[in-house]
Amino acid sequence: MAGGRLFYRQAVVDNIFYFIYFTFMQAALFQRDKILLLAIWSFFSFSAIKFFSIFLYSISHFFLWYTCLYSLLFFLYYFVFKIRFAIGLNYLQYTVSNILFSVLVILFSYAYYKVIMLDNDYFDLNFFIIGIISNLLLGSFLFLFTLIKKK
Amino acid sequence: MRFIIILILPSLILLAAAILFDINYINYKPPIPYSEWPKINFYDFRALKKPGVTLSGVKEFAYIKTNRIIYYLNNGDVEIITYFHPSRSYVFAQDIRSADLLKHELYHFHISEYYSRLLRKEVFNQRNRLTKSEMEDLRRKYYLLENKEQDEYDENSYHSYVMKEQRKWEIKIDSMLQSLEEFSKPVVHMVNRE
Repeated sequence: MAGGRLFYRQAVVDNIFYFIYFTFMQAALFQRDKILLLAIWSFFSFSAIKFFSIFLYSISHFFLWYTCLYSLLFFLYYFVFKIRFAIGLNYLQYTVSNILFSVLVILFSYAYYKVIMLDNDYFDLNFFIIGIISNLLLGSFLFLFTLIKKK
Repeated sequence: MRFIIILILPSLILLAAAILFDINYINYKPPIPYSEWPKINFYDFRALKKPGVTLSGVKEFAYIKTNRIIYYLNNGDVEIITYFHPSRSYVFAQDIRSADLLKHELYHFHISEYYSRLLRKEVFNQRNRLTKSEMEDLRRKYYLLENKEQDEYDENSYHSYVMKEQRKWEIKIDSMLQSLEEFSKPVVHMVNRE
């Protein structure tokens, strides 16, 4: 029993070190100009989707179109990053950026809701959480295209 | 820096265009409190319609946007006002002379006011033991109840097309408002000053 508990504690410690290792490995992502580019690209994507949602509002499968557009816009970020810094993102960096992108978009959407919309308007956080998951899945799928091109 | 400006400029333009469909700031009119409801006409419905939006395929429709704001006054009293938002409310043609459609939309405003009165009543009844956060909880509770009633009203009267149901609802809403006449004034006195 005691051995099992020790093993469990060791696994937790290992995971923490693993997380720290990867965080530092992604240090290249957390430089000021790169964070700024990601924040501005997120704002651009948020504005673009907000604009396109005027037209998407009345069509069926709204959520699907919405998520596809976000994933596509994030996929474009891969190329924007490449043009701006002359280096490509690996899969892990791409995924970390995708999560940050989704979080920033949620923050912009919430700010929009607070500033522009009324208190009895609808802000569905679940919609955005499902959006993050879909964005990660679709984003990963789109990342495959960059690998194909490399091959 | 140039790269950032290239991205920020179109972002702001797109966002400005998107905001226009949520609140028409080009043809803006400030919110109208419930006390001024008899003055409202279709020229006050100034919002823009999102392209392709219809009411079950019908392009000739209107919608009204209302809300309520709670003001915490310096003397400890609370003011609860129901507002109509002209720049967020839409009608397919402002020069339309459909009294029935306007009446239908205004009764949505009356329903909002009824729930404001209910909120005032509850705030007044609990005035000695109500914190700000509890007040916010009550506000949310009454929004939920109001939304349910607004949907039911639209569903039954089919957005004013079913006249018989529309008349029934008008009588019902009028009597609901009448039953809470003593809470028709926006200010709720929280402290007994006798």
